[in-house]
Amino acid sequence: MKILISLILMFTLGLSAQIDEFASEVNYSRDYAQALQIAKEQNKLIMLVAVGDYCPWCKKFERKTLNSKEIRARVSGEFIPLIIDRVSDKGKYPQEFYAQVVPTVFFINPKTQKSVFESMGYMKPSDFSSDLDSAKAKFKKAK
Amino acid sequence: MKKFILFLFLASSLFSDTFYTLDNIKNIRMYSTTSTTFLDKQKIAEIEEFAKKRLLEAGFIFDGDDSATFMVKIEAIEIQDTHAIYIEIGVGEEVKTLREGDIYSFAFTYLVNDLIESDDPYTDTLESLDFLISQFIEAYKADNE
Repeated sequence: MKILISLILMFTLGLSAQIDEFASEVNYSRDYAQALQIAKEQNKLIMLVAVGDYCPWCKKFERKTLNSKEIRARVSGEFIPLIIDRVSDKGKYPQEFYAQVVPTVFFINPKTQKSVFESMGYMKPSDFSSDLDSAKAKFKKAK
Repeated sequence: MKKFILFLFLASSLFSDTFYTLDNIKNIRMYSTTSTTFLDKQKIAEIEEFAKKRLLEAGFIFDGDDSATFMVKIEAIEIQDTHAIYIEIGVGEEVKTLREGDIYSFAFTYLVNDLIESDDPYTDTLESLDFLISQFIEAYKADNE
């Protein structure tokens, strides 16, 4: 039983290690409450990226899109980014952002904590950049 | 109706792409493996030549040094007067895994296949291979644009 628990723990830690590594590389938060606090102070949208460790499209989205020079520059200047694992981070962020499919990106108004725009599936940097514009336009309209 | 159109759009945009990452694959070597009754040596050579021509046209080079392996696999069984044919293409190369100890392993970094039933196996195999290679080239271009 102890071995089983140790194995489960090691497996879970192994899963979180990769997402933590990516979050640190691109400077994304892993804490919803902290991201919300900063977003309120700076009056910016929270960009919540929901991924799954089992999902190859998520890996590609992280590597090719979120880690691209263009998107990194835009996200760090215009949004408060947060990345969560759809399964292992359950309970650490609001239930309404439990994504049906991954990757899904929720753009959340920090005042209402409601999503103003959602972006689903893998996208190339240029397409995702258009979604960033759409999210910002919706946020501006809602202000 | 709007949702259906959106779904079709999303689906088609996803299927034109692949979750494999094909950045910077340039140099490849051809490897083919077959297990059929309808392909003799000459036809296998023709199939390899056909695949090579498509890939050369798409900008790949066949240099030999430090190249990834482009695999063409064709397997078939005869069922009465028809053939069930499995065609697969893939890219295999040495990759560094995330395992402890920086373990390297040979891995397929692209893999796609097709299963067909045919009364004209050679022609239909070429057609299927053409379709699979087109998919590969499209995905390669999308990743490298």
